[in-house]
Amino acid sequence: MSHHLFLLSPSDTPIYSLTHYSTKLPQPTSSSLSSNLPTWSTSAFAGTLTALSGASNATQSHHVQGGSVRMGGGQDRHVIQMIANASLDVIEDVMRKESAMYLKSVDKFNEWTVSAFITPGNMKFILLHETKNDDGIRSFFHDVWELYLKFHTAHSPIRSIVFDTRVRASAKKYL
Amino acid sequence: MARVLPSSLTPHICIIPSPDLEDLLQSSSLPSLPHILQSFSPLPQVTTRTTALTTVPHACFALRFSDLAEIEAACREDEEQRATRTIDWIGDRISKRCTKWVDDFEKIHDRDIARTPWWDELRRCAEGDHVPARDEGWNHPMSIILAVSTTAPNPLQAITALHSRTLDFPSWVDVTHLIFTLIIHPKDSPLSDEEAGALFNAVKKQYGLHTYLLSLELSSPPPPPVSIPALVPRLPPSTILNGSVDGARPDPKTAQTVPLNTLRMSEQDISQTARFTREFVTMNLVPWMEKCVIEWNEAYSSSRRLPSRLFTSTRRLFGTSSSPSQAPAHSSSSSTSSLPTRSHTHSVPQSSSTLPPPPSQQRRLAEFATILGDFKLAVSVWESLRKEGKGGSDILPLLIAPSPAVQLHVSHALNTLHPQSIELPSHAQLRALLYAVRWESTLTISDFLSNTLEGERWLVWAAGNAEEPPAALLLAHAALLSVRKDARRRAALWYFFAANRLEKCGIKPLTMYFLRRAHELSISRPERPLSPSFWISENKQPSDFQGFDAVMSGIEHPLGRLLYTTGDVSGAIRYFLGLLRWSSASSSPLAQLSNHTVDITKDPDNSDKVFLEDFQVAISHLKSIYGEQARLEDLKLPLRFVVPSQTCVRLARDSVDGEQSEWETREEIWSSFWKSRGKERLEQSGKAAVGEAFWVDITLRNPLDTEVTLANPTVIIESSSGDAAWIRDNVVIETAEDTVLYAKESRIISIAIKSSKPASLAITGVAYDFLGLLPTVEPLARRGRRLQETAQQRQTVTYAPDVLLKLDVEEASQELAVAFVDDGQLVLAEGECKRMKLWMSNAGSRDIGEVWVVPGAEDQIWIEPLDSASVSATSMKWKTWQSDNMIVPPTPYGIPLAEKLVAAKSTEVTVVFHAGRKGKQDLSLLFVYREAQGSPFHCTRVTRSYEVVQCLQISTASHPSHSRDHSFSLSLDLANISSSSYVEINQVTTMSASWSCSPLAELESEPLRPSQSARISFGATSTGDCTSVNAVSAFVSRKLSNVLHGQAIEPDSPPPLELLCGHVSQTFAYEPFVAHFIMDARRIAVSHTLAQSHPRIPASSYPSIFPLYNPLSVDFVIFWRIPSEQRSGHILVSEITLGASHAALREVLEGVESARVKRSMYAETQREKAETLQAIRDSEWNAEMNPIVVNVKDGLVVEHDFSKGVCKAPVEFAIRNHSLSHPSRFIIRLDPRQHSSSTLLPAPYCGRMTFRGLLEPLQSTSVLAQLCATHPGTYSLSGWRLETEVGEPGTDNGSWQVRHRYEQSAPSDDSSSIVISDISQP
Repeated sequence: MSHHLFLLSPSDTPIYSLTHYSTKLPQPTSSSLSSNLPTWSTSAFAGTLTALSGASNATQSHHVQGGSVRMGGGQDRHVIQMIANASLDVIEDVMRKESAMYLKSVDKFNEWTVSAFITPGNMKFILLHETKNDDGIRSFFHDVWELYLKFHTAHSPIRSIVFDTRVRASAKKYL
Repeated sequence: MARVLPSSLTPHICIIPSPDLEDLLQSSSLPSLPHILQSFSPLPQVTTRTTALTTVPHACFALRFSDLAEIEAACREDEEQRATRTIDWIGDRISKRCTKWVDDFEKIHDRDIARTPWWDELRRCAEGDHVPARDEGWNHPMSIILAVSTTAPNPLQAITALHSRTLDFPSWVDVTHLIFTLIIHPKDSPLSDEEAGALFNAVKKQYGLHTYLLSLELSSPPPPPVSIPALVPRLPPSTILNGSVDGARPDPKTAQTVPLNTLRMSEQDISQTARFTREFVTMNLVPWMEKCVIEWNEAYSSSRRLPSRLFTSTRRLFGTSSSPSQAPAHSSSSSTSSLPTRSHTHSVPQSSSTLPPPPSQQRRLAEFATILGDFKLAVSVWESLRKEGKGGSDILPLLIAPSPAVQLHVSHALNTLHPQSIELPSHAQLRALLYAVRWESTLTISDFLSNTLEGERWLVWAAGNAEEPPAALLLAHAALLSVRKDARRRAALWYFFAANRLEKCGIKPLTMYFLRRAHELSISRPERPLSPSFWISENKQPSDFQGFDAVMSGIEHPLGRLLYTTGDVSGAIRYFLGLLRWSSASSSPLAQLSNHTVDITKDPDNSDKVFLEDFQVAISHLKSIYGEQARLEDLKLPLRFVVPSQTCVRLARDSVDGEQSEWETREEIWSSFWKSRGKERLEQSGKAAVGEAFWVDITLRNPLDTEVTLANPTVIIESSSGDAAWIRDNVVIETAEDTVLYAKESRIISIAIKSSKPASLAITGVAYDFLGLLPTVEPLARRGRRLQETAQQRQTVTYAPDVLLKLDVEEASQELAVAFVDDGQLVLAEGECKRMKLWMSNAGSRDIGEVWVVPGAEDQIWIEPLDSASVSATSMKWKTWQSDNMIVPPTPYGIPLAEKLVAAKSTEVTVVFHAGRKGKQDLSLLFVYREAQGSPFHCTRVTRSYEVVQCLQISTASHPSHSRDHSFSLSLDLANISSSSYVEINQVTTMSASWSCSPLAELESEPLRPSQSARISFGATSTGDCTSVNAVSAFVSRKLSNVLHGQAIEPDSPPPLELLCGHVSQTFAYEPFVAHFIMDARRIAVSHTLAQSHPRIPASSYPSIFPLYNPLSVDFVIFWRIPSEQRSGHILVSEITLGASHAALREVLEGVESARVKRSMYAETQREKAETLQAIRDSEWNAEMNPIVVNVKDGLVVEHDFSKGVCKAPVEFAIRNHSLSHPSRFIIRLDPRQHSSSTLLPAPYCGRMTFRGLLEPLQSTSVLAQLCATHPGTYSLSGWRLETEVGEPGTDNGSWQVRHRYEQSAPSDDSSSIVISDISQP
C-alpha cells in the first residue's frame, strides 16, 4: 500500500514529492466504488522500438529492455503524476466553493483516492492513497504544513534533508 | 410531452415473412420487410394513455423491426460468446473506419464541441443490439407480425402455416406478445382486390382483429430510390449458426444491390406503408400495451396493498428464506385474448422449473409503462424493483429529475454489473456500455455534465478496467465531455487512458489522435490568477512553469513510438528528442528531487536510456531510408552538454609556470604605475600568435542517466576579419576524437586551433554529432550581467549582451623573448645579493624602444645601469639618510637600453636580486615593452624558481643601560647555522631616527665558523631631538583617528625623517644597490607586520596611514660574505624599538569609545569594528610603559673596622627617565624589609629614607642613601619602592598634570648587594 505526496506551488509547480509505503494494514471497509474500479497497467507501451515496429535492423545491438520489471498496477511514475495533475481540476473547483483547508477524498481515479490540503498561501498538498484514513491524513497534512512553513519557498524545489526526514517520519506515524 | 427514449428502449417487433413475400420483395428490388418497416420508424405524434387515463403525447415513437428467425437464432447463441463477438465487431468497425474519421475530424476547427464519429458509431452499435437478454425485457419481442403476400398459391394456407409455426425461443424469452397478421397485396397479384378483401375478412374472422391488408403498387421497373434514415448497424449472425438457419434468412445479396439508405418505392406505396405502420401502432400495439399495463398494474398494486406488504415485511423481519409467492404467474396472466394460447405458439419445455424464467411481470410492467410514457407508474415500479435488487437502477436515471440520487443509481447499476473479479466478462462490458450510451443519449447535455450528476464520470465507471475498444471510447468520450466542462487536466488523463487501452486493440490512428489530444491538453495550462509579484518575488517568469515532468514524457513517448510504427519517422524523432528535455537534467523539478531520495516509483522504462535508444533507432532508420538527404536541420537537441562558464582558451605561452593570480598582480602593479604616466594600454598578454596553436578547453557535462557519445566535437569560430570561407582558408580547427560521456560525467576536452593570419576570433559554439547521428551546435555564449543602470533596467530585467569567448591572433610583429642566461638550479643564502643576467631578444619584426620589468610586491630586484662601472662599490659612509618615510608601493623598473632593440637583435641586462625570506619560491618577472612613446605596451613573462636557505641566525636584545653614557645597550647575536661555510661579518650598520648607536667593540676579523656565534654590543644614546618623534606620532594619531571614525583617508604622506646611521667598520665599501634594497626590505617587513596586526585596514591605504619608520626604532643591517662560495649579502633586522612612550593614542581611543555608539544592524560589522579598535590599541603607536628605571650600584665592597663603630656606607641609586617627551616625578622609598633574597641581609639604612625628584625627558639623577651596618655581611640593595608620576609635557602654566602613575620595586630576582667586610679581625 503506497501513498504519494506532492507539494505544489500556487503556480502548480511541484516542489516536493514523496512516495511512502505504508506498513499498516489496509482498513477492510473501503469504498465499494473505488475497490471496483480497475487497476491500470501500461505494459503495452513497453519494449524496444525495434521490437515494436518489427523493423529488423541487423546492426542494432540494443538489448531488449521490454521485459523490465513492472511495479504493479498503478505504480507507474507518470500515471501517478497524471492522476495528481488531473485531480487539480476538481481541487480547484472545490477550492472555489469551500474554504476548508483539508479536502478529504476530493477525487478518485482507478484505485487512487486523492486528498488535498490547501494552505492559506495557496500551496496545494496532494496525497494519493488507496484506503480511507481521514484522521491520519489530516494529521499528516498538518504536520507537513507545519514543516513547510519553516521553508516558505514558493518556486524552488525543497531539497532540505531535514524536511524530507521529518515528512517521512510523519508519514510513517500517520499513514 | 414524454421524454424521447433511446431506441434500445422501444418496442421490438419481429416479423415472420412467408417465402412468397420474400420472393415478391426480391423481385421488386426491395429489402426485407423488417428493413422496409424500420424505415418508417419513428412515428411522429403518437398519443398514449397512462393508467390514470391521462394522455401522453409522444413527439416521436420509435419501433424496432427484425426478422424473427434471426432473433430466434441469436437467442440460441451463448450470451457471453455473443457479447465477445459484439465487442470484436464494434472494434472491427471502428478500426476500419477510424483513419478516415481522424483525418476528417482533424480538419474540424472546434473539435471539442463537435460530436465524434467514433462515439456515434459506438452508440449506434450498442443501441442496435436487438437480441433478447436474460435480465431485461427490452429486446424481447413485443409483437410478432406474420406477413404473407397474395402472390402465394394459397394465401390462406400460407397464413395458417405461419400461425401454426412454433416459436423457437429459449425459456427465458418472454412470450407476452401481440400476434399480428399482415397480408401484402401487390398490384400484379393473381388475386383481384375483391378476392384479397375476402381473404382479409376470412383471416380476420379466424385469427382476430389484428390483421391488416396492405395493398402495394410494386411497379415492375423499380421507381427511383428514395433516401431513408440509416439503419442501425446490427451484429451479423455468427457463422456457425448462419449455416443452420440459412434458408430462413433473406439473401444478403439483396440488401447489397440496394444503394445505401435508400428504398425504391413509389410515393403511393410509401404512404400506404406509412399508414399501415401508424395503424399498427395506434390501433393495435399501443392499445394492447395499455391493456397489459392496466392488467399488470392491477396485479402489482394488489401485491402492494397493506396485507401483502405487511406479510412481506414480516417475512423480511423474521428472515424466512423461502421465495415469496409473487404476483400471479406471468405466463398465465399473459394469455390474454390476443394470444390464442401459450402452448399454441411456444413449445413449453417440460421441466420448466429448471429452466431460467422470463423477465418478471413487474419488470415488463415497468418497461411497458416506460415505453408508453407513463413515467409516474414506471418510476414507482422501477423503484420497487430496485429495492428488491432486480434492476431498475439503470433506467431510473433516465426518468427522474437530476439529483445526487441519480449518481447513486448509476453507481449501483454499474456495481451490480461489475463483479469483484478483475477480468470483466464481455456481456457485463457490453451491458455497461449500453447503460452508458442510454444515459448519455437520453439526458440533456447540460444535465449530464452538471456538477450534480457528473455524467462524464459515469462513462469512466462504465468503462471499468476493460481493455476493449468500447471501454476506450467511453473514456475518450468522458475526456471530451471533461474538456467541455473545462476540466482539461482530467480530460488529458482520460484521453491517455483511452489511448492506452485502444493501443492494445491495435487501433493506431485513433490511439494517436487521443494521445495528441492528451498532449495538447497537457501543454495548455489553465490561466492562474496569480499576482505578478508572485513571480517577481522569486525572480521567475510565468513562462518558467514546470509541471509534472512524467506527465509529458508519459504521453510523448508512446506517441513517438506510434508515429514510428506508423511510418512517420521524423515526427517520432521529434518526440523522442523532446523527451530528453524531461530527463534528469535540471529542468525538471521532480527529477531533481528524486536525486537525493530514492524514487521507487521511477519507471525504469522512463529512463533516459530508453528514450535515447528509441531516438537512436528512429534516426538511424531515417538515415537508412533517406541517406544523407534526411532533413535534420530543424531537429534541436533540448539538452546542453557544454558548460560555457567553464570553457576557456589556453595559449601556448600560458603554460609558463606561475600562478595566474601572480601575473594578474603584476599587471595590476603595472597599470597602477602607468596610470599617472600615460594612457597607453597594456595589450593583454593572452593573445595567440599567427602560426601558433592554441587550445579551447571545453567542459562537457552529461546530464543524462545513461552513456552518450558525442562524435567529432569541434568548435565554431567567427572572425571579424572574414566570412566562413576566410576562416576555412586561414584557420585550422582540429576535430577531437569521439567522446563517450558516462552517466552524469563531466569531462574537459581540448580542441586545437591555429590561425595563419592575424584575426580577432570569437569562439561562438561547439559542434558535435549527438550519438554520431544528429549534428548539433551548442552556443558558447554566456548571458551578460544584469543591467541596473537605469530605472527602466531595474524595473524590467535586462541583461548585457551575451559574453563570447574571444581571442585575438596577432602577427608576432613585436615580441620580446626574455630568458635567464644561466638557468640552472638557484640556491641562495638568506639576504644574498645575486647578480643575474637576462638575455633579451627581439623576436618580432618591429623595434623595441622601451622595456620595463615588473616584479612582485615582495621581490627585491635592482637593475644594473648600463655604465655599471661608474657606480661601483663606494666606501662613502652616510652619517644621515633622508627618508620620505613612505611605504612606497612596488613599482616597475625601467630597463636601460643602449639603443633601440631592432628585430632579431638581442641584449643583456644584469639584475641584482636580493633573496628575502627562506623557502622555495618563484621569481616571476613581467616584462613590459613597446616600440616607442605613444604605442601600446606588450608584455612577456619570465619565471625562475629558486630556494633560499638560512645561514645566519640573528637575534637582538636591548635593555636600559647601566652606564651613564648610554641610555640603552643593544646586543646583536649572530650564529652561523650553515653546515660548512665560514661566514665573514664585514659590516653592521645601525639606522635610527632618534637614537645614535655606537659599537662598544670592534668587529671580529675572524669569520664565523659553522655553529659558532658572535655578539656585537652597541650603546644607544638619544639625539635629544624629539620633534620628528612628535610629528610622526601626531600624523599616525590623526590618521588612526580617521580610521576609527570611519572617515576618508586622505592620501597625504607622513612627515619625512632623517635617519642617523652608525657604521661599525669604517672601511667597508657599500655596493650601489644597498640603499635601495634596505628601503625595500624595510617596506616589505613593515607591510608584513601591518597586514598581520591590522587585517581590517585595507593594504592599499597603508602608505597614507603608517610611516615607513617608527622614529624610535633601531634597524641593523648586517653585511656578510662567504668567500669560499663567493656569496655576499646583507640582512636587515628591524625589530627594536627603544625608549618609553606614553599611550599616544589614548585620547583618540577614548574619543572613539565615548562617542555616541552607532550600532550597526549587522553583528559582523560590529565585530569588525571592535577588532580594528583592539588592533590599534595594541599597536606600537599606542605603547605605554613606565619611563623611569632605577639602577643601584651593585657589587660594592666596603672594608670597615667594626671595632671603630658602625659602618656607614653610601648607596647610590641612579634614576633615569627614558621618555623622550614626558617629564616624570618620582618618589623612591627605601624599605629594607622588602628585599627579596633570603640569603642576603636586609640593608640597614639610616638617615633619609625617602627621596623625591623631577626628571625631564631623558634626564637622569642619582640619590645617595646611607647604609648603617653594625656587623659585616652582604646586604641586599633590592629593598626599595619607586612611585612614578608621568606628567604632561609642555603645559603652559607650568602646572603638573599626571598622565600615568606607576609603582615599581626591585625585581624579585634582583640580587644587587653591597659587601661590608670587617678588617678589625686579623
